[in-house]
Amino acid sequence: MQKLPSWTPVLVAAALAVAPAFTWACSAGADVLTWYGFARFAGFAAAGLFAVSMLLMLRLSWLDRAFRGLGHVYQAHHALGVAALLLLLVHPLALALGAFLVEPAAALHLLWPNPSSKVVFSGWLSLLLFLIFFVVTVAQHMPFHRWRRLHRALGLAYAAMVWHLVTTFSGSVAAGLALGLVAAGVLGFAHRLLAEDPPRRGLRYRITDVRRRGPKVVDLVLEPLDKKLRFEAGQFVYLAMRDSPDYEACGESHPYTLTGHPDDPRIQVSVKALGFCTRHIQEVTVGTEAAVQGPFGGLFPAKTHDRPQVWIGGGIGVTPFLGRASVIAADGPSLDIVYCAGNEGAALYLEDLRAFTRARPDMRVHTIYEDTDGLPTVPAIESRVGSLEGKEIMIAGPPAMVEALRRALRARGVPASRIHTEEGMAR
Amino acid sequence: MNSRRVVLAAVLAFVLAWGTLLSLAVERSRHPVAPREARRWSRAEVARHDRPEDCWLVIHGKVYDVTHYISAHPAPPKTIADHCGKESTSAFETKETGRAHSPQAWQLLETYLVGEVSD
Repeated sequence: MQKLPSWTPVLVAAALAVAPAFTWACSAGADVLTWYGFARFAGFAAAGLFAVSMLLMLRLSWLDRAFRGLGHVYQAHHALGVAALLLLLVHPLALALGAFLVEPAAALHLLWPNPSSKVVFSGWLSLLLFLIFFVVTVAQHMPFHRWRRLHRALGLAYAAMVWHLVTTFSGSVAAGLALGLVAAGVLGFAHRLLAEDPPRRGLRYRITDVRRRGPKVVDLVLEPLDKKLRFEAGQFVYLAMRDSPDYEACGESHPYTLTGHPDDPRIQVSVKALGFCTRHIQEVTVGTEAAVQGPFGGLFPAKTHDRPQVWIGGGIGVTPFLGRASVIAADGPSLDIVYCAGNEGAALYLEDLRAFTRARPDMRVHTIYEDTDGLPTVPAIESRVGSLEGKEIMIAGPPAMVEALRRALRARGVPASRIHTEEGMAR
Repeated sequence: MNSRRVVLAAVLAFVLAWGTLLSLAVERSRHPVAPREARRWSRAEVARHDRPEDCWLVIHGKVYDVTHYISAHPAPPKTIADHCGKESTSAFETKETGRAHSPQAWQLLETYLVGEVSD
């Protein structure tokens, strides 16, 4: 069956989110062309978008498949959340402006969190909490563990929004739809907090080998204690260490690419010290148990498997290529791997990738070292792999590199359908 | 433009718009308001103003023309429109939910006074 375009799930999510707003706009007596009507429309739309955004933070395998990667799910979560905030900001302003044009004193009643009116107070409480946590978490750079704690606090703003919707509930179909949607969002939030985030949730594995790959990178081999994870090469999992006599876990789960062969009962991951938790994992010991959730990821769509490919990886981002390279048959399609790193010493997996090429004549590994060759640009890549025309291009690495290359490739005329990325894995 | 900038720009624009609107509302607010010249109306006359586009309410024996306020009310228009032309004391006192209107709302109501009922 032909797969739907990649934007289809985003469109479906957005349509679901604005359903209450459009239901209200189509109801008798609603006039979106007045300030009051516009304000209510914006309010319903904001509530719906926040609700669907809440659902799009779930680590569900069917969401991962529908959006072609959990990274795309999180991108949609982020985009819908930002859109919701913008509409939320419009809501009280349009309401107050409509009132102001009729009676300035009435606008005054709406422009501050008046505790004598539950409707106004709950609305302002929600808006102020959203404002604070959005500015702090979306508009600031901060360590991941702090960001996550503050981002979770958006649940308080969401709770205040639910209260506001309850206090304004009028019994209409639109209000019922909005309440139903935000209730689903509450369930989604609870599921994430109680069933996904706790580090004990997931398949049980135990570390059987810890190999130091570089000063900031360790390779871990884990064996299943119960059920074995079924995955495809190049996918990733969320993995959380558990406390052991020799190791105190950080209590967080993070995404790591599976670098081993899918038929191997053990799983292998590489962990680079990028933040508090990943630095802590550098000291993990053999015997430590871990909880594994997944698999996720869609960097290598099935339709591309038989076509000529170019893989471009930066730093630790090459790890999806290790797993995928291990399953490509000797008579597989033409494959060029471009390994981007600071210098040869930083190309920690170069020899592993070269080892795969020995039995596969149509697989080549190239390097671009920033210290001597500069940043990986499209011309630099083409000078190594030849024309990119007709080739599927997989990019994995730091988000800035992935985005810069994607834009450069699009500007070069490479169709978007031929560019495959795995964004948003970090969060 | 990335979302970081969009959020910051939107928040800044919101704060500016809110501040402007608030200061204008304070400046032009009609509190305290001198009641308009009171006239006496029969309940039958009040009952003729029973539509959202011509809406009078009777509250504590006083008559209020709230036609222009309906669109400024925080709750849906139907909340007021259902009472147009009718005795609305109980509805206003309890908001039909057992909750009272704020003192500011009572103060605001007086700005719409058009008279008293005569019977």
